[in-house]
Amino acid sequence: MSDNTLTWVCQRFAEVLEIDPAEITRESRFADDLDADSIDLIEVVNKAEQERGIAIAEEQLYDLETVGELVDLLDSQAASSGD
Amino acid sequence: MGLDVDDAGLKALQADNFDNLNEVVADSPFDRHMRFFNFGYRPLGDDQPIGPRLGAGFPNQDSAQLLFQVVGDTPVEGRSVVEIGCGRGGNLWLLQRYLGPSQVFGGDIAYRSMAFCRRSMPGPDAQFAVTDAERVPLGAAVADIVLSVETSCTYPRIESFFREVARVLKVGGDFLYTDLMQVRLVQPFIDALTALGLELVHQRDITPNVSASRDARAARQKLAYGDRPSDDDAAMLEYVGESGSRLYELLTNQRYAYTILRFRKVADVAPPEHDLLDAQAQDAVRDLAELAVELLTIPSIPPAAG
Repeated sequence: MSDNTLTWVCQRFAEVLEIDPAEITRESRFADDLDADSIDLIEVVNKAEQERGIAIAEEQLYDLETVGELVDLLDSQAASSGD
Repeated sequence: MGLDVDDAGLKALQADNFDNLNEVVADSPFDRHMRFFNFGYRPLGDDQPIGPRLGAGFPNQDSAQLLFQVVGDTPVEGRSVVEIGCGRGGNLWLLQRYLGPSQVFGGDIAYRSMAFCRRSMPGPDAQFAVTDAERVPLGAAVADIVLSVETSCTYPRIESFFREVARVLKVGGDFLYTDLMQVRLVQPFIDALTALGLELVHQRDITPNVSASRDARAARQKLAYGDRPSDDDAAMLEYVGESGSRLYELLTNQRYAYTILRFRKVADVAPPEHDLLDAQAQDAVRDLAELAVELLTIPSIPPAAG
C-alpha cells in the first residue's frame, strides 16, 4: 500500500507544483526540495480526502516535513479506518 | 473622510466585513486551516525566526512568527491571556499549543470569527465572546497578559481601548501590542498608555519585516480565498495586503510604521478624566478606522439586514 500511496502522492504534488513526478521521492522535503508551501500540502491532502476518502485532521499536517511523512500518515489513517 | 456613521455604526460595518470574510473563507477548501488574517512577519538578512520550530506543513508561518516576535521573551506559561480583536483565534491557538498559558479569552467584534474559534478551540481553558474592544466584557485586573495584534487600527476611539487594556490587566501584567500606526501617533499612544499606569519596556519598528511578508506571501494567500467575482478583487487585495493595495501603500509610505510595543502595568492609577489623545490625534484615529471599513468591504456580499 505504501508504494501505491507514494506514487499517488508524488503524482498529486507534481500536478499541484507543475513539476515532473520523477523529481519527487520519499525523502523530498516540502519546502527545501520542492519549494512547496502549506497551501500546496493542503491541496494534496484535500485531494486525498476527495479521491481516497482519507480524512486528515489539520493538526496532523503541521509537523510534516517530507513526502514520506505524508505517505506514512495517509497509510496510517487508511489502516485505522479499515480501508 | 466620507462615512456618515457614528462609532457604533462604524463598528457594525467592520463587524459585517469580517463576518463576510468568514463567509468567503467558509466556501474555501482551506477554511479549517485559516486561523490568521494578519500580515505576518518575515525575518530579514541573517535574522532567524524565533519561537518554536514549525513544520513545513504549518500554514501562515509568517503570522505565527509575528506572534512570537510580539511575545518575545515575555513569560506566558501558567499565565492568563486576553486577546482583544482575536479574529479566528490563531494567536491564542498558537499560545495554547506551544507556550502553555493557564487560560485564554478571545474577544472579537465579528460573530462568525467567534463561532470559528469556539469550534476549533473547544475546552474549558479557552473562552470566546463577541467583544467591542472599547467595552471589554471582563472584570478589572483579570489578565496577566493582554494581546492585540493588527486590530486596533480599526477602532474609532483607540483611547477607549487603551483604557480597557489598563483596566483588565493585573499590576505586573504585560500588554503585548502590534499594529500599523501613523508615525506621528506612536509617541502619543505610548504617552496615553503611560498615563494609564503602563510602562513601555520594548519598542521596535518591524515595517520592513511585515512588508517583506506581504511581498513573499500575499499572492499565495489570496489563492486560499478561492475564486471571487471581479468586483471583489480590490477588497481581496486589501485583505492580503498585496502590492497595489491601499494598505500595502500605507505600509510602505513611511508615514505609517508597523510597530511592536510591549508594556508592563506598574501601577493601578485612577483613569484620567480628561482625554489622553488630542483632537487631532483622535481625528486621525477615526479617519484610519473609516478607511479600514471602506477598504475591507466585500462588494459581492450584500449588507446585513437591519
